[in-house]
Amino acid sequence: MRWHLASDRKLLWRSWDGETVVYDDLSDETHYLEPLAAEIFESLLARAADTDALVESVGTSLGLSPDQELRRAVAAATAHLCQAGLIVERPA
Amino acid sequence: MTSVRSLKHGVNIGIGPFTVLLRSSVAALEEELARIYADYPIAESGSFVDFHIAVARPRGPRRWLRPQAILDFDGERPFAPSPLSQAFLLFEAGLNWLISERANQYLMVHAAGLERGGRAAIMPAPAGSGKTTLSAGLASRGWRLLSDELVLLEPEGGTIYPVVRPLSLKNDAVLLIQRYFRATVLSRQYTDTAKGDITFIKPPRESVLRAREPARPHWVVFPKYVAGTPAMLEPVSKACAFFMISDNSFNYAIHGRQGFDAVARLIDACSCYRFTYSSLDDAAATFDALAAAT
Repeated sequence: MRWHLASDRKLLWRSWDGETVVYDDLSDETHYLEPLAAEIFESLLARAADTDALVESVGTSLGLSPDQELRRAVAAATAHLCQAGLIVERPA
Repeated sequence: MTSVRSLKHGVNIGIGPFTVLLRSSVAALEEELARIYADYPIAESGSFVDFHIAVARPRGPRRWLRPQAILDFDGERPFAPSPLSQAFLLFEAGLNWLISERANQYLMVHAAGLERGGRAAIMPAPAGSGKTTLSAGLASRGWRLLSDELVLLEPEGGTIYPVVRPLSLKNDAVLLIQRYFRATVLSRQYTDTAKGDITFIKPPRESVLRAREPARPHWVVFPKYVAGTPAMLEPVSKACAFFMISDNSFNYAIHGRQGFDAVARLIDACSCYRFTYSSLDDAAATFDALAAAT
């Protein structure tokens, strides 16, 4: 399974100093993404990825080792992004 | 500014980008207007009018028994009648309501706005944060008042349009302002209102006369009065500032994508700070240093 940006809506986003705000024109809601979620969002902007690839990618970007703690944090952040409707999980 | 006779037939008052046609035969309102709105431009009759407001005395017993004033916007009466002596308060509240309900061509932020050297500081804050007191203090120290309550941001270009209104001080804040600068012209004090005791300050003449002159945003400052603390300016992350601005906007949701872009452009253009203070002198010195440094 891989994570993708939601394609059923038009997203606008802006980033400043590692934090991102995202506007979702389907729900008319604006979301604040803290640095880890912002990094995941940015990574998925470049390409879809599974959780392992996201852990590697954000670990490299944020200078964190890709250990279990980071994996748990990435899993929690992707769950929040998914709940907000900004990303979806689809078969690879 | 005007007389009861002309007010009875209607006077077009220029208030920032708006022209307000006000009709009234209430003497208490006319007296306050003459004092507090003395510097506002009067447009010719026949000019385009944004808002039609009438403040009148009702027919029936309430014309004489505990007399009341009623507010009418083109036949609409969204406010309950007020005591006749509070007609000016009713007019101010009504105009606030009209602008915030209908001026959706602007992104409206519940904030004070002040300008120096063509650069504007936007100060969003909830009621009770001391932003009107701070605005009055800065306006007395060379900053041009753009608004003490409502910043109008043009969504496409990001320009701020002044909407200079009388500054509304609650309860004891008026004593502080009177101590701070004595030449201030004040309305009478309106006691026992839903928001406590309210006194209006006549806005600075220069700010009123320059009310058609827009400004560019340069700082976003979230002020808070905290008794006994030294003045302290701390950076706020731009993403947090974005959220605090959108939270303090009356019509961010109405503007949708355009609102998002407008707030993002505003944040791009501004340095963002949280500001706590207890002394107006220290606050003014901090703002002067900010203007000089950046």
